Amino acid sequence: MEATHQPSLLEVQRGIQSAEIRRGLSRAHVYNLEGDLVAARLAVFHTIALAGISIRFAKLSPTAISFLGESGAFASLRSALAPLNVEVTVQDDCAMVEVAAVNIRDEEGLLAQVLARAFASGIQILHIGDSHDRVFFVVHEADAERLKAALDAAKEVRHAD
Amino acid sequence: MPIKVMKFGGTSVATPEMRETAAYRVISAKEQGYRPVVVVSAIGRKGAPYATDTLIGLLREIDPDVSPDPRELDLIMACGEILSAVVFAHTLKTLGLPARAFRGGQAGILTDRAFGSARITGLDPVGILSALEEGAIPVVCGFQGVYLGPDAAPTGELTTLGRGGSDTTASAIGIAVRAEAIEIFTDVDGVKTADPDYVPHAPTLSRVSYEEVAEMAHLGAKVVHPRAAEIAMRAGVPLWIKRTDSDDRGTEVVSNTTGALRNMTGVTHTGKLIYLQFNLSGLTDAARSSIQGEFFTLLGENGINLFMVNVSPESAGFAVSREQFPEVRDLLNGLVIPIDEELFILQVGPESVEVTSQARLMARLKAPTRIKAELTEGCTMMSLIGRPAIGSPGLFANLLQVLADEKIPVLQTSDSELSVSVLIPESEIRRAVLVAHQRFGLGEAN
Repeated sequence: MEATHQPSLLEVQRGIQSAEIRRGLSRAHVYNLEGDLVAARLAVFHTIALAGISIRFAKLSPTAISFLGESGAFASLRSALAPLNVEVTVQDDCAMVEVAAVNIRDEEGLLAQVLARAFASGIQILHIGDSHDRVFFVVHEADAERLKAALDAAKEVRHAD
Repeated sequence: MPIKVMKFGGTSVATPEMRETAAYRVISAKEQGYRPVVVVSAIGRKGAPYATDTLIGLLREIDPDVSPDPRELDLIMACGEILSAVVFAHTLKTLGLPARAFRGGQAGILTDRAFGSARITGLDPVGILSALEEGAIPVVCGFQGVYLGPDAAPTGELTTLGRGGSDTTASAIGIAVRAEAIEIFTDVDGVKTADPDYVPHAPTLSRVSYEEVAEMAHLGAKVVHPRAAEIAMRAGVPLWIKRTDSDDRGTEVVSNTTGALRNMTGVTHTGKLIYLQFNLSGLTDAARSSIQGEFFTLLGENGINLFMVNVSPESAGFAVSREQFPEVRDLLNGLVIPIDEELFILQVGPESVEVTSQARLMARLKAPTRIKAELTEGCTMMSLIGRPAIGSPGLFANLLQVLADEKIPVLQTSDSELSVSVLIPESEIRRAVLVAHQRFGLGEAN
């Protein structure tokens, strides 16, 4: 009888597995949301939906909304949102540097350590998102390789066993 | 003859009657031509005499102020599964089936040294395979393994795999012995579209992808542990979630290419969180970046776990667990950050003595700029899972509208390839799950 004994098929080990770059993104920042914040946010999201614009990784702050899309996806965003009397900035030529680490939110301080590394690089971070197994940073495309290098160095960051 | 791994959770082995029911499941598998390998959890749930929490209590009640050593904690926790495996093996024997109980280490499960949350680094199932060759049914203790590194005791250190560890054991063994299927027997019918405590009529999904079920589990669904789904996915071994005392089909977990077609798979909830939002408006890019770098460094060095991080030109925000919040407040409240010629002082929540006295001291040098963090206590995360729906135009609008209609505030969102999550008040979670389940058509999911 033959048995399998391949650690690679078992569990992904703790710590950072990879830092990858995904290019061709745009990032939008819609700000100066005034009055009833809930209503203002809804108006922005409904208007975007009606314009058929697909957005990802939306983030809320007290007077603004930020989100991402494929490069060029926000060409009509400003005109679509014009009736809402909000300010809009769109940054094309963005890239996402995505760091994969299993259970990153639950490994003691690991997510904060990766964030600290990213900010210590001095590169302007435009947008951040996290899930249970990754954190990503959106930066100007020209900065992506440099941030990846800084985060590759963070692969040494490990949960203290 | 094909091998089938059958894992029975705590409630499935809680009483002699339940153990007999589970044992008949094993007999039935054998009659169908399988060679069963059984994995068991500790007997019963919280409060039961041999449940994991009860065993931990034996140490904690000695002196609640002295934390048990993680190594000793693992040793005592593992007793629950050892007892359960031996009792179950003997139950099989009384029904005429030769069986052999194995500790995790005896079953060949090797782990790293992280007591309490060890990860499997290898599995050599020679003992299990020998037992099968001899016609015995291996009954393996879930949730445990052995660390054999250079700093371990000569015979190794017993480790436990953390919450849901028995599911992980079952999947790892399933791969190692090249099982035809892994069956997780529990006290619910299968993977539900929502927590049945919140949505009593939530349907059971007949088929779901490994990725979907792992995402649901990561985001709060409790029926199967995400590590188990991820391990099974890597080898493509079919995983089934079934109810021990029912002949219903349960949920089949397979690769996403053969998954059912639907927009949304489920709604989950998890976490007892506190959201901190720092007001950084009016600062230069450099100052904002330095301040964020400082507090993330401090939080990382002190092992603080973060959720739903956001940075924008106006603010920075993140959630922390309620458990870790006092430490976060101690670390950040009154923290002075010098940047070039400027002094900044963090204030977490309402004005406190720490901040005012620090600010007064600093004023002798230079009046510091206060960076205030608004606190929202009592938060939790609700998530919608479903690959087709994520990224489609209107998802955020629909989700926020559904919650706004119920006057449920949304503090933050985050999303992945498979899910979108919102941070909302914990007091509203039951209503939020119910309405999201209804408005996103999950009652018709199958």
